[in-house]
Amino acid sequence: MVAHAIRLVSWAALAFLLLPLVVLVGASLTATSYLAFPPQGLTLAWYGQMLGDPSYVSAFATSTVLAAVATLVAVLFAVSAALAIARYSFPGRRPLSEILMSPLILPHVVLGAALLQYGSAIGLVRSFSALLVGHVVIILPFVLRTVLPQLTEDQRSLEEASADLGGRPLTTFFLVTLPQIRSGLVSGAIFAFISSWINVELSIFNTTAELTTIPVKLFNYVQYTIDPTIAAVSGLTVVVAAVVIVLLDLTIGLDVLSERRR
Amino acid sequence: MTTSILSANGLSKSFGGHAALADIDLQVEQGEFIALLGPSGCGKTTLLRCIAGFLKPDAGSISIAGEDVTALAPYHRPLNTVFQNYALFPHMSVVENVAYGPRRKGAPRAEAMRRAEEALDLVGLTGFADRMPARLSGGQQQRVALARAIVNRPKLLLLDEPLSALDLKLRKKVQRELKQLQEKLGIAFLFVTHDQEEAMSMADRIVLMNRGKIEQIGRGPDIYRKPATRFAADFIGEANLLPVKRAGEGGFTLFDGAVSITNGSAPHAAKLLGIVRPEDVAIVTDQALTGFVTVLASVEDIVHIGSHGFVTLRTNGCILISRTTPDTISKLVLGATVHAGFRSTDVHIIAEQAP
Amino acid sequence: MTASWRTVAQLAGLPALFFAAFFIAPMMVVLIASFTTPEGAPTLANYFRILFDSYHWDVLWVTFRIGALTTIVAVLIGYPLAWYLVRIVNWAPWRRACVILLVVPLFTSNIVRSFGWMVLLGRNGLVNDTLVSSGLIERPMRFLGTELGILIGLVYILLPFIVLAVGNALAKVDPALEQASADLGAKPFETFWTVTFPLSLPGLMAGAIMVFMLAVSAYVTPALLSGGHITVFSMLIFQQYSSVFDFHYGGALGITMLVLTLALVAIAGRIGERRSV
Repeated sequence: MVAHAIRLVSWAALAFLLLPLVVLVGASLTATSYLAFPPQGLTLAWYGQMLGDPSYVSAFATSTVLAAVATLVAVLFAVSAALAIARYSFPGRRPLSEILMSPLILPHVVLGAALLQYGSAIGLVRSFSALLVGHVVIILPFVLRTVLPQLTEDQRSLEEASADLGGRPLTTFFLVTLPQIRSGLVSGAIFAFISSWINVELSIFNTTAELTTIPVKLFNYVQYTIDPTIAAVSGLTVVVAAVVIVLLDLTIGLDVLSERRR
Repeated sequence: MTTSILSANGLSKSFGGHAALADIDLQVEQGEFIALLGPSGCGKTTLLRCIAGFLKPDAGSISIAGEDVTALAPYHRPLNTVFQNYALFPHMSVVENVAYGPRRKGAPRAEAMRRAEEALDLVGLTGFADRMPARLSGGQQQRVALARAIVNRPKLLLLDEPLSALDLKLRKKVQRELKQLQEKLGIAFLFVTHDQEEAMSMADRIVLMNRGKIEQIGRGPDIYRKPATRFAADFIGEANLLPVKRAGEGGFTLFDGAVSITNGSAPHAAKLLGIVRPEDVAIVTDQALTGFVTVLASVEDIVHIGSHGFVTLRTNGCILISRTTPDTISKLVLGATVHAGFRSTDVHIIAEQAP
Repeated sequence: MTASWRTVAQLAGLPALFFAAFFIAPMMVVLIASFTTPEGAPTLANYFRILFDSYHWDVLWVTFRIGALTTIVAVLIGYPLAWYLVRIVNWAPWRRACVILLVVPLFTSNIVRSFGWMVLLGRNGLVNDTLVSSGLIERPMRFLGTELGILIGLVYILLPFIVLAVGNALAKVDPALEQASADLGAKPFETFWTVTFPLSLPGLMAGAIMVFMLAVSAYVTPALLSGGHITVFSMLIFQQYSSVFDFHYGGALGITMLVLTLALVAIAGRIGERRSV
């Protein structure tokens, strides 16, 4: 009885999760000049239109480069900070890790506004660098959160063994430490990349008509017009996300909810 | 004839084609202490879980005190379990853990608490009531698990390797306490273990399991002296397993005919196996022993472990191990030829099963 | 000791400086701005303006009401869904597919997800079409520009957080504990209520707090689904910074939101802690 009720609620919830994604991808294939779901006729014309519009292409490029560079910087910062926090005791260690984690609980609108105000004081506004520093701040916690728990005490003895066998610190890091934290690093970096790639609240303060990311461009557009091109752009991001996730599942495995029953 | 506390008949259970239990029959009587002994994967835990109700057997029936419980859910069975890693509720205090059973059986809170305190006294944990389980030592956690399982006075207590998480010294102490508690309460204990010494020292009867089947049921010393199978001989204690050939009525030869003995209890089987315990094998350097059958052997290896030692001997292609005194060992040298002997009554002959 | 100091400085120095420059300093600037006049004189006027303006109270009330409702609905749907995925689904491929379905929305922009609902919830959208043709309602309902529309959008976006948090907690509950409970005579619902649920509570609280914080500070979803009819607090902040350009007042709004959110979260955390002991 109860199990049936739970099943029904769950199927409804799963349908609820699936519906908007199906609608978006479906509506982007419509042959009509207005949004229609179910699509009337099938065409990829809207995708063609999107790709023919240089402003979309450049927004996609900006988003991708921004997310990639921000992730790279965040990974470098997070790993070196994690090593300091996990391996050494020093005054200010706890505050440091708390400050590095706190962007997770800060409303992005507040942080975006703060960076805009501060940036206008120091001349860092509406530029790629202005976007970059903000993105690094908000995505660094994702990497730190997954890397820090993997720098365990067991590992320290592996590092000591490596040093004992003559490994210099950098050799030890690349040959011993890095392989051990690889899975945390990869999943943290992916979440970091995605968080940067989909961000609106922070980016919106520092974008211009020429320099814009794809989510911000969509946001500004959707508020005034709705047409199948928008659905095509959205549909493309859904497809990209789905492909990334399936790849993730196949490589590092996403079956986080499987129970270890005896 | 009185009704058995537990009666399992024809129990079978398989997981994905692998038979974990094959046609198990087992009776446990009122107040008995039974050890379910066997190597890991032998089916002993599966059997326990079928009895507790966490697994449904594919075939067979289980009765407790005459009542068929095969179809009953665990919470309707009149038995309790001490789990392997204790399974104490981490979000409840010690006394709440112990009072959990009485509360579920409908006892009012005050009454349940009183009974829980009593059970804690019984296992020697007076004053620990308000601690959280995570703040107890392994031994203390084990006692809480025990108190929680006996507070409802079940007819049968199942214990799933309850001592395996304790260190050796503590384990010996807890073994004695557990045995005393069992005698005091008069509850039948069904105790799963892979440790033969533990089984020998605690149980009234041992149920020896291997590959989903019961190899032998009996008192510990009986299984030791008269193992029914090669597995039983090998698993309980050390054993010399020697090929035996039939030589006429009641006569047998060992070591390719080098030694002849008589034996009245040997089974009628094509292939026979003789079992001689190492402590029954004596070693002398110069002369034959009276009353013993002897064979010439060379000393291959000597292991000295303090109170006694083991000597590995080779004779006519067979290995023979002798457990002997430090005194005897001190006179031996590697490679020397000695006389090894044993009484023919010390040879227990069984049928060698096809592997 | 000196050697290890140098190592720590080499490792943590750059990240720490970066955060000081681009996280702490900006937040300090906002904090200071919120307590000063445009001329730079210290003042509490910005906060008094918020405190004594009933419009702000209305917006705060709407924001936190939507946040609370989102959290409650997400918990009510998310807990059973997590239970279903962890305890009921036996077939691993199906569970994997479900987890992927849960994670895909997390990997797509709020815009895209909200946009999907704009299409679905419109006057002639699929939801209204279905409801009208099934005879449940006579005329199309207005979703866009209502709290219900925002609620649907936010629940949709935040549901995965609850499911993943609760699911993780449920998967970690040692099955032996539930068996011990049954062994001691507890019927399935008693076992759930006395053992499983309390053990999943920390995960549930963590997920609920996360959802509440994200719902209260959400900007994009309410902005798109409100159609300009409903204002939530983050929109006020955004207006001050993007069109009014009053950084002092905007700063006070930002700090107010931050403090209120953290305070509510801390209270919820306390309650959760007490219950789980």
